[in-house]
Amino acid sequence: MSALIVTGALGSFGRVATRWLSARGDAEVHAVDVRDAAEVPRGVEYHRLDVRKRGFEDLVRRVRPRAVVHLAMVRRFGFDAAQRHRINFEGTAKVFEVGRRLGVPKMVFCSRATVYGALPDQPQFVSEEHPPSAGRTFPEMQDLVAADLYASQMLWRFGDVETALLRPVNVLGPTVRTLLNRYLGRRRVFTVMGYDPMQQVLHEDDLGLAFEHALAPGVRGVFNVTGPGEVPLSVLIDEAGARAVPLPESVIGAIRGRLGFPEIPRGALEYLKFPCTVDGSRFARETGFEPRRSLVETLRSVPRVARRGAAT
Amino acid sequence: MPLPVRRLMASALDRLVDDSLRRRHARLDLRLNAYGYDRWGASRDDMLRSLALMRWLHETYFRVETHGLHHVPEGRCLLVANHSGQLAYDGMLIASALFFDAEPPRFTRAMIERFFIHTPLVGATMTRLGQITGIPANAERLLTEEEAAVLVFPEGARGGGRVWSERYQVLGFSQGFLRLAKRAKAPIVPVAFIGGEEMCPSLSRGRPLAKLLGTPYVPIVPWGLPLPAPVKVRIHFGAPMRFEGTGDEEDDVILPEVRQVEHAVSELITHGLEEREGIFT
Repeated sequence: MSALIVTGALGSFGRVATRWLSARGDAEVHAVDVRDAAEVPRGVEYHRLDVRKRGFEDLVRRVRPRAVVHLAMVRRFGFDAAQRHRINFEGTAKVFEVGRRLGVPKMVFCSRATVYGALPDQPQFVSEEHPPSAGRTFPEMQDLVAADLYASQMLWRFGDVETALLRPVNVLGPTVRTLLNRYLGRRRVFTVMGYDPMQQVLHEDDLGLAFEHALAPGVRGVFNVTGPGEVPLSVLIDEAGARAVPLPESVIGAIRGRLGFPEIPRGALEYLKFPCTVDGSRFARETGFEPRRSLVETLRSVPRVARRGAAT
Repeated sequence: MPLPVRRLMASALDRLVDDSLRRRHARLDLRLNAYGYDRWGASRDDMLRSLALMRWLHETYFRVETHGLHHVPEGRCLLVANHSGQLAYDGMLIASALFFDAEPPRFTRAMIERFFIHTPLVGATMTRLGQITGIPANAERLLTEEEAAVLVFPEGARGGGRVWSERYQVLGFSQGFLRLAKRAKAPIVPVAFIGGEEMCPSLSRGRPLAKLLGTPYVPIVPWGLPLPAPVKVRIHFGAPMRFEGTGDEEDDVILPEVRQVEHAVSELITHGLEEREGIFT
């Protein structure tokens, strides 16, 4: 049986990937993370190590994986910026370098559609050729954009390694804990008054399916991954069972991080004002990917926990 | 706008939506999802509400008269019109003509100045009504993937903010629309909008004020606010024009073709002005 390595396996996308790929039963899945594993799916072998350290290289040498799915990224904005850069950018470079040196035939890297940025003057459905421009309004994302661009240049620099770079849209589901999921999980959520941008969503199971498709032999390139459709942010909030509290942008800017209001980077607000929607037709065309969860199912998959005391 | 005010407005407009409007709307070729939105953000409910309002403007207030609707082909087409009326009355009434007077009814996607899409509330409302940010890639996708009727005003903000002394002159088209039509293999339908100059005449573009507000222009209208006078509106659609090519040609190929379209719109305007009996009748 062939082996697969999933890095960042305890992150929310990592859990989706290990769960989905181990359930397929056609490969032995090695989960890698720096954190202590409370539980891993049955049949998954867990390795507590840092991808930037020697242990990762030893693991790759020992299990000879047919692919590495690299998901070890820090996306929390409270995190120290230098530390984030080391993990996100240098970690990604290291994983690709090790993979290439030890002859791993395939690398799958998961970025996000948010790297394009929520900019009102770009096409409504951004294609893969469009430069990731999130840094223009959201400088805190520079390391994520740099890692994405690094992975995409692997396509021509190391042509012998089959690289698939995925840029999925907002992933929703019962287990994922992205910024958007945490936002929707509140009882009352603030919105920017006068704006209601379109959002694209993907169910976490469909993200698992997308990993499976990306791992198929012959699939290489940069791919936007889209789900069953698009709805305005207000519908997303309604379906999550939360209540929208529209506030003027200047007010949000003044009170963020105070009065129990979440500390969010200024640039993140742009995603509540303008769409960051993409064209996912290439992935569908080249791999036959088709989301299995409907739009309604996907939107309703966010746990409706009305957390007491959760202010806007 | 505060939510309760919006709800109140919505429910007031809902009372104007009747079955005939719903039936006509259902005949449009729209791809709406389970929540009643299309992928661009158009909403069925908001479109019906605005159509109820537009019907009154179309039939009662502006008494719109349409000519040459048979020229609008089935499937993709690029409608190219003169811009006038300061605010988007021209685009709205051309869209209402294609909805209420064409058989079968057509839905028009107007390319909106980016400035409006950036503006709170205005941008969100335009999106709900199916209007699109004026970026060529958006228009191309609508034409090639959805066989849409896309409306452009190639004079841009220059035409929108035109002053009284420039009335009914074509102020020079930019060439983007022609390259777009070629790339998307879409016929161009010239359109003349008559009445816009008198409904909301502007004496000045109000440049210093516009600069202060960050808007493309601020119309200085004799009666203060840019509210339209109840003139009679006439819309003339011309014979479709087809241009062969890829859209990547040199300027000296494109520019004469742009002039041809300008000329066609100009002719339609002249014809429309000659034919009209009065501004209000």
